[in-house]
Parts: sequence; C-alpha cells; structure tokens
Amino acid sequence: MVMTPRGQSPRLSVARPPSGVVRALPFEGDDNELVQAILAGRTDAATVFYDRHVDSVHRLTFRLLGPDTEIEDVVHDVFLRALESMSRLRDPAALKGWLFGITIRVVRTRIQRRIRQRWLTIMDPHKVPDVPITSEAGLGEAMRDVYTILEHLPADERIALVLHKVEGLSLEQAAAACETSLATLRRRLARAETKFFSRAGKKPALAPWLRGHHQ
Amino acid sequence: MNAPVERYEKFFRAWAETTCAFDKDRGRDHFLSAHRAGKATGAHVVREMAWLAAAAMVAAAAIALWLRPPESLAFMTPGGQGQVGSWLATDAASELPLAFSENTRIVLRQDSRGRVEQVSRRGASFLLERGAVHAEVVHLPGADWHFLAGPFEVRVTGTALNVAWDPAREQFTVRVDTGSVVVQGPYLGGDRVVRAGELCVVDLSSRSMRFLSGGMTGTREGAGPADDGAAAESWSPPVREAPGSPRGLTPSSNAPLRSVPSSAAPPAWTALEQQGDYEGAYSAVQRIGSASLYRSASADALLELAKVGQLSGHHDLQREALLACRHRFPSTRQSALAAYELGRASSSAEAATWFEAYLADQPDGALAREALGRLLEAQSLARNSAAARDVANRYLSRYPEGPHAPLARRTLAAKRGEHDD
Repeated sequence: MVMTPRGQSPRLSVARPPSGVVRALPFEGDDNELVQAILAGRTDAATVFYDRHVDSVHRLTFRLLGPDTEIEDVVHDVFLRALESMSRLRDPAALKGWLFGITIRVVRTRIQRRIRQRWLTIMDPHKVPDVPITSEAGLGEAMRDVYTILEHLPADERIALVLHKVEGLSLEQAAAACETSLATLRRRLARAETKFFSRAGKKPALAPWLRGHHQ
Repeated sequence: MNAPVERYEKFFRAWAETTCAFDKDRGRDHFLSAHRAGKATGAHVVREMAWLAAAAMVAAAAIALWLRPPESLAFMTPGGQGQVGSWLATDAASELPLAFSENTRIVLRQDSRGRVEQVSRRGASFLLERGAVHAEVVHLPGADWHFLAGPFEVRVTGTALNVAWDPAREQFTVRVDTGSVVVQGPYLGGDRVVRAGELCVVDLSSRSMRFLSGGMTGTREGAGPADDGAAAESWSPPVREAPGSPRGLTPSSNAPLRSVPSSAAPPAWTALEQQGDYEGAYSAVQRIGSASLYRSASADALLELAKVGQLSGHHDLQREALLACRHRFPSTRQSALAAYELGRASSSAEAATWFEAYLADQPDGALAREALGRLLEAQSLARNSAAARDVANRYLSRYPEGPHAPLARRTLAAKRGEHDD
C-alpha cells in the first residue's frame, strides 16, 4: 500500500485508499483535462497544476529576478492569478505557455515597482539580496554581478535578454511571450546586450568569465 | 563561431544552470490555502499595502517640493489622439502629419506606412515599414528619438531629417536638413553620424553605401520614394540617379560621392553555404541583415538560409527563415517543406501543428509518411493521448508496414490496456 505522507498533497501516481475509507482518486490527465478539472472546482487538480508547473515557473522567475527574497511570493502570485483567469484560457493545450506569459507580467510588475522604489531611494540601488545560489559551473559571485547589472536595465530589456539568451527561447517565442513585435524584441535585446556587456567588463567577478579567464 | 561569441554562449549556458533553493511543499500549502480562501492574499500583499502607504507619504512630500514626475509624450493625428502601436498609412495622394506634445512634428509622406512604436517622456520610436517620413524633432535636453526602417535605426536628439525605406528594392536613405543624427545598420561600419546637408544611401541588394556631403543644401521639403517631382525640384539639380538611391532622393552630380564598395563585401552567403562553410555563411548573412533576406529572398533561398541557421547552430535564423517561407510563399512545395522542417525544429506540442500543416499542404508528398510518423511521435510526447490515437489509426491505415507502425500499434494497445484496467 502506498501511503501519502501527512501534510503532502497526492501526486499523479494512484495511491490505493485504505480499506473502508472512501477517497477521490488523485487527478490524472493531460493539461487539457487538467484545465477542465480546475474549472470544475477540483482541488486535487489545482494541486496537480501546481506540482506539474511549479518548477518551470520557479526557474523562469529566478532567471528573471535573480537571487531575490521575493521569488516565493512571485511564484505564489503567478499561480493564483492563473487560477483566477483560467476561465479565459482559450487553448488549454497551451497552458504552459500561458503560464509563462503570466510569470513574465508578474515579474515585470515587480521589477518596475522596484525601480520606483529606487527612485525614492528607499532601497539601496546596488544591493542584490543575499540569497544563496547554486551554480554547477561555479559562477558564484559572478551571478551577483550579473543581477547588479540587470537591476539597472529597463524591465523589458532585462526580460528580453533573459528569455532569449538564458531561457533559450527563439526570438519569435520571446516576442510572443513579451506580447510585442519581433522587431521591438530585437531592439530591446540589442540594447540589453550592449549595456550588459559594456558594464560586465567592469565587474571583478564577472569580467574573467567573459574574457575566458575564469577558473 | 569566433572565440568571444563562444565564451558568451558558454557564459549564458552557465547562467541557465544556476538556481536557488525553493521550498516547494511550503509554496504548495500556501497556494492551496489561498486558493481555498478564494483570495490572493500573501505576505507580499501586506508588504504592498505598507509600501503604498509609505509611497503615498513620500509622494505627498515630493509634491510639496514641486517635484512632479513628467509624463510620456502624446501625439495627435488629423483624426484625433494618436495611439501608440496603431498602423498609419497614406495613399499616393496624401500625407499624414503627427504633432507631438513637445512640438516635434512628423509627416508620413505619400504611399507610406508606419507607426509610433513607443513613447517616453523624452521622445518616441517611429517604425517606418515603407515609404518616407519627414521629421522636425525639437531639441530638448535628453531628447531621445528613434526612426526605425528595415534593419536600420536612426537616433536623433534634435534635428530636421528625412528617412526613406523601400523594402522592395532594399534601399534606405536618410537626409539631414539641420542638426545631426546617428545611423546604425548594415554596411555602415558601426555608428555613422550624418550631419546637416548630408545624405546617406544604403543599397542592401548591391551591398553598398553612398554618402554625400557638402555642396548640398538640404531643404525642408523632403523627399521620399513617392514624391519624385517635388524632390527633384527641392534638391540641387539632379544629373543622374545614383544607383541604389530611392526615388526622389537623387544626389547632385557636384556632390562628392564616397562609397563603401564591394571590397568591404564578404563572399555571398550562398557561395559559402554551397562550400559547406555554414559559420562563414551565417556571418555573411549577419552582415547583410537577416531581416532583409527574410523579405527578399526566394523560397528556395529561404530554405537554404534555414539550413545555414540549423547547421551553424543559430536556430533563430533557421526558424525565422522557415516562417518567412511559409508566410511569403503559401501553397508552394517550398512552403510545405518549411512546415515539415519547422516541425522537426519545434517542441513536441508545436511540432504537431507543423506536421499537420505539411500533411494538409502535401497529403501525398514525398515526406507524407515521415510527417505522419513524426506527428504521432509529437502527439505522444505532448501527452495528447486522444490525438495520438487518432494519428496512430491514420498511420496504420496508410502505412501498415511503415517505420512508425510499431509505435502506432503500441499507442493503440496502451489505450486498450487502460480500458481493460
């Protein structure tokens, strides 16, 4: 018998209920069926929705925001917004891409709000929150330089750079995700790259990476 | 690929592998609690409220100090308030003036199309899709204006200028009446400053740039592809039309003519591609500007261009060339082939759409069996089980001995197994 650990939500695998206990089977199905189940009000479907997509939402949020104490809030916000607006999702098979778009909008709002805060000098403009990061390639401190630079890019340029260069989206996919034209996306990307590399050369931890002199 | 590009790509890959800890269980509990409560409250909302209160106080102080944040520019058209992003077009007999709130004036010349792409408090970006514009940009501190035409960008801080772009002939022209501008684009060798009285013409098809300076007094009555007669009168007497000059922007014969000729031009990308030098071909494409090739290359050339993108590892180039082929040459063999290649290059969910497109275009085409088999793979990988079963049935009815027949049978058997359970 497979027991579901206390406090954890059921996963996709079918757990047999203990004899004598009537319990709904965990939700199974593709994203199409998942959306229908969520719209029908099934809480287990909401759990599966979260479990199925949280890694990709978190990964994208981290890449866009960097080491940040707000990441968990953003992920939370993305999923709640998604549930609230799921009835307007036209193509349930495109659930992942749609969630991607919501993530970008939520992150953009956060970045813009941070820029406003900086304008009022409430927040130290050079401070990147001290959240531990893991880099298999050993980027370490260089990543803090990266996000210090990104803090000074306009939100749209920052998003274009990350979506295309880090997330690996094609220009067309990135333009669609940003809800803009391909030409505009290209220009944002060109500006972002120019600014990024011109500033990166002055960062002590990052510059060796770009010169190929890192350990 | 050259060394810096390799290093940069390695760096971006390393960046992509970076992550931070995330307590998924706590996040799930938090999410489900909020979902059950039916409201989007979170710690951030509380912080947001605190922030709003603080911001309100600071804003009040700012107002007290007469600090008012400036607003983005607005503009008017003859039809009323202009809308950012809305296309504007003129026919052969009309012009369209735009008046901006800080007194900059832009006139979209005859037979032209463009739009204000974005506005800020210091300027705007105007995208000229085709035709010509005349602009008188007010010189204010920090002014930031951009005119975008094909692969070219003109940066302006305050000046009167004329920009023309003929996508069919791939000719770009900028003429400055007063002040100066900075132009970026192919064959310009980096940022190029164009000053009052100067004319810069770039002809992508002949890979040349012509630069006229001195001896020409630009007139405000601008020129553009559509106003041949007016332009001929407004410029110094034209003796000949310079090759590559858009209509109406003909230089005078006594003006010194400098050109950046084909000595700067690299070998054609097609020749490099045929030699198997895909990196070299890609570099050549970048020098020309891939955007112009998407618009002007033949269907076969676009397929070759996609191959350059694929084999040089630049998948954006591959994808965009294939999309251009689909867009510009619908209902052709090449368009169907582009759909098939897009399917091969796409994620499983999107791939299915492209393989279906190939099969719709060429149901009995040379690649029909392979397309149907790959469609089955794509639907299976995308976990579209109903669609996968449908494709499996189609495949077995047409190709019972085909290479994807075992997968099709497994797909159908899996469904029967589910029913048996």
